[in-house]
Parts: sequence; structure tokens; C-alpha cells
Amino acid sequence: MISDEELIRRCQHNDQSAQKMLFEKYANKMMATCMRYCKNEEDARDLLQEGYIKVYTNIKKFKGNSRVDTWMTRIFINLALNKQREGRNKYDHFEFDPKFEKAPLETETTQEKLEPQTVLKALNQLPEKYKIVLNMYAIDDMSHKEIANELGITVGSSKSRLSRGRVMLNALLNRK
Amino acid sequence: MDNLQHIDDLLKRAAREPANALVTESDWNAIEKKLKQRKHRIYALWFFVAFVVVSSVTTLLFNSFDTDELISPHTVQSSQGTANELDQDIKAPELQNSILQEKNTIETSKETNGLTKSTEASTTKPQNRVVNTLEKGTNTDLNKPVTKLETINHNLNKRTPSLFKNIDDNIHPERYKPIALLGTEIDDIAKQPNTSNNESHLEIGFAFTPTISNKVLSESNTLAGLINRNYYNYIGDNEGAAFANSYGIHIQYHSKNSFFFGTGLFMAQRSENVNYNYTITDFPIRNPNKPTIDSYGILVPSQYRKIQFEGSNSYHFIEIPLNLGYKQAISRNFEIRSKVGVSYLGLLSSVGKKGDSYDLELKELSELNFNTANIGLNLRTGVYYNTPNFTFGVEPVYSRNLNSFTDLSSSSLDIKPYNYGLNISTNFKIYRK
Repeated sequence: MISDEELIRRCQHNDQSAQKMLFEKYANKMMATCMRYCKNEEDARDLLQEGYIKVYTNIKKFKGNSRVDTWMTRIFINLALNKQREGRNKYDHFEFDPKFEKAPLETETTQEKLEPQTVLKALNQLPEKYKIVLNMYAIDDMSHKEIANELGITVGSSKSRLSRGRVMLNALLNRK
Repeated sequence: MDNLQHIDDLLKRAAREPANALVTESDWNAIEKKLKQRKHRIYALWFFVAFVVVSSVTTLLFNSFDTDELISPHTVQSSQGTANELDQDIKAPELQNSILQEKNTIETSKETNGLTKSTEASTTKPQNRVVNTLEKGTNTDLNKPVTKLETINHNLNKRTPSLFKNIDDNIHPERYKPIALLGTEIDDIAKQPNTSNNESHLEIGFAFTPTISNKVLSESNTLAGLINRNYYNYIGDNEGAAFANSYGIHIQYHSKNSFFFGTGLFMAQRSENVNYNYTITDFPIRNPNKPTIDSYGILVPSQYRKIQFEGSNSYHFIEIPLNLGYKQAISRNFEIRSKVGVSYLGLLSSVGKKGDSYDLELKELSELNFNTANIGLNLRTGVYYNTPNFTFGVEPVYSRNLNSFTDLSSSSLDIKPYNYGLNISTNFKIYRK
């Protein structure tokens, strides 16, 4: 099995077979990321393709300071955010519904029994701005400062969106 | 809402699961297609940039350069003063030709009719002032029938409308001596080399160079021990010359002393034909301490690998040459030009397959390490046809890499490609005012 370092080195020399190997190795993981940031599978597939093009064109900038899949994930996230900025008006009008605050809190054990796809489906039902912060913070391990920088919002807004996103997701999961 | 932090863990766990949507081969095909399109766009962009640069330079230079100077001043003997426009118009090549024709007609007419010099000249019509000029301003023995001269002047006037329109009564017609032109120097025009080529000027144009491409193969000093014992039999001897080409835009500065300097932007393609047909029956065992093959392990027959591949590998470069040249006129319109120079060859892509010198496996060229920045030498000598504004040339060309095309830090073979072919180019000339 070829190592990531070798794979990257060959991709940096525009080696097409290495590019394909890199695709095959991480495509499913990246697709999962794309699915989390996109509304539907078609958008996710477009994002996957564009993301890989961006990975290949920027791979010479990869210095090996992090894992290659972490670096790639950040590229996919940035691309997804750029796409969402272009269509921002789709969700900007959404307001937080206070009724979610009143949703009953289920025990952790009950929710743990839920299928992963059910959880992700519920996440996808959230308004974009909460979904994105939840994705970035909870799954992609980004700090509030990083999220604020990426989204062009304050750290306070990031925390607020995370908190409200959790409440809403909890409410959605409790209906399942 | 700290009690909802378990939501994060729930999400993390869910995200570890593979995506519901499966990645398919068509996703890779779409990516591959987009990568190729992007590459084409980059090529197109390079050409566009080159076109814009060349166009801008041409436009800038054209505003400060003029082609009027291309006619040698000694072909017309004119006086000074306010007659510059007339002087310049007389220099125009088509006018010279017409004068030459008219002169011949006069000569013929003189011989056949025996006409004598006219003593009458009208001063009422502009063209007749030139008739007057012809008579008053010369000390020649030419006898010209007035009617014929009037015809000449009429023709001149018709062909160069600006010739007479600015001449007013303050201009003394005796300052002009076209008879001297007609009588003494017109014959020389046809005999002399195109003197415009002795003026400093720029040439901008296109070139296309079909070539045959081949390579000089030698072994790396440090890694030669890693060449498989069957390499030459199976691979090296089965790689040969192929057709290649380059095309692009070039610009040359021609000095007055026959030397010229050139550069440009070209897309170049080098090729090699390969025809492999062998079976891998063993594998090399490398010495762990030094770059040599110690021995060969024998594969069991079920593991033999048959390699059968015939094709043409191609390497695409962007080429920026820097040439110094010398030209020598051999007739009025032809000259020999010789050029020598170096080229930067940036490897853009490589397409094809090649046998590996270590394990003999067939590999995509993109898997092999080539130098992306190369320096080449080029030599060319050829014949150019000149007109006042254009040149057209055909010249045999030889070019070769000065450095190894392979990355010698990892390759045991030192490959220096070379090409020989025919350069066909056409240039547009721009003269300094």
C-alpha cells in the first residue's frame, strides 16, 4: 500500500495514477463531508468533484503539517461555504423558532440508539446557519474563532448558533 | 444548554459512518475530464497572454515606427525645403515602378516617333507645374514629348493624390529633379538588394516547426547500478524516433549590422515511439546499502507478466527561446539567416507509457520523474524571402536538451532528447521612424 507521503509527492508531479489513487482512498470520506454540507446528493456530488479539482491544483501547497485528509476536508469545507455564500439568500431569512426551546430533553441513551443516518438526516433538516456551525464545531473540530473567521461572524454569534443548533437538533431527534 | 453537548458526540459518531451516497467511477471520470479541460484552459490562457503581449508591443511600436524609411533615400535626388511630402511620395515603391515603366515608354516613344523636347508648358493646371519642373529644373539631355510627360504627370497625380495637393505657388518647381531619377538611377533599383533589410527593425510573426524527435541515452553516474540487466534488450532498444512539432509566436529585433535577436512563446511537443513485447520472468533484488542490483529473483511461471505495448509517447512543453542570428543578403529579395540560441522548456504534461529501467514494469509517464524545467540548444540556418513588409522563411532546425530530461536524483538513465526538422515562419516587419 502506497503511503500518503508518496501519494502526495506523486500528485505534486501531476501523476494521474496517483491522483486516482488519492481519489479512491478518500472519496468516501470526502463524500460524507460533502453530504453534511449540502442539501442533497446532487449538490454533494458536484462539491466532491470541484473539491478534488481544487485539491489537485493546490496540492503543491500541502506541506505535510497535518494529515492529508484533514487538509482535504478543510478544502471541501471552504468550498462548501463559498458555494453557500453565493446562495446565502436561501436561508438568511430563517429565524430561530422559540418552540424548539420547549422541546423535551431525551436521555442520551435514547438518542444513542438512533441510526447514524437518522442523526445526519436530522442535521440536514436544520437551517443552514445552524447546520454549518454544528458541522464545523462538533464534527470537523473547528474552534469558535476559526468558525467566526470562516463565516465572517463574531465568536459570540458562532457560540449562539451552536447552542441553538444543538437545541433544534435535539428537538428533531426526539421526534424520531 | 451544556446538557446538550452529547449531541456533539452523537454527530461525531454518525459522521464516522460512510456516506449514504456512494462514490462511483463516474465521479472520477468527471473529475478527470474537468482536469483535462482545465489544462486546455491554461494552454489557451498562455496563448491569450502571449497574443495580448505581442499585440500590445506591436501596437505601441507601430505608433512610433513607420515604414516610410524602408526605401533607400539615394533612389531619389530631391532638393530641400518645403517639398518633403512630394519627396516622400516619390519614394513610394509603386511610384518608382510606375516611373520606371513610364520612362521605358518614353524611351520607346522617342525611338519610334523621333519627337523633340517641348518648349511649351502650361502653368494653369497643377500637373503642368511638374511638367514645368521637368523642363526648368533639369540640366539633362532628355528630350520628352510634352504630351507624354503630361501623361506621366497625370498618372502620378492619379496614383498619389496627395502628391500635388499641398504644393502652392510658393514652391519653386525647379527644386524638383525627377529627370535625374529617370535618367541616372532608376536602373539601379532593380539591381540592388532590398535595402530595407539594412534598417533596424522588428519582426513579429508565427512559426511552425515539424520535426523528428529522438534521444541520446546514457547512464547516470550514480544510479547506473539500478538498471535492469534486460533493460536495453526489452525496452531501450525498442524506443525510437517519432514525429513532433512546435508552433507559436516570435519576435525579433534586427540591428543595422545584420545581426538580430529573437525570442517568442511556443508550444512544443516531443515524442518517442515505443514498441514493447517482452515477458518479465524475474525481479531485481536491490542492495540495501548502495544503489545496485545484487541479484535477480526468479518468478514462478504463473507470475510471469507479459508486456505488450505499442504507441507514441508525447511530452508537451512551453518553449521560450532566446536566439542570436546573422543574416546575409544573397539577392534583392532573398537572404540567408542563421540562428543559434537556447530555449527554456517547461514540461507541461506527458502522455503515454514507458518501461521502467529497474523492474521493467510498464508505467504511465506521469508516474515517472522528469525535469519540468529544461534548457535546450537550438541551431538553424535557412533562406528567407523578403518583401518590404513581410518575410517568409524556411530553415532546417536542430535542437537538443542540454540537461537531462530525467530527474537524475532518482533516475538511472540520463536522457537528452533532440529534434531535427524544418522551421517555417512568416514575419511582419515594423520599422523605426
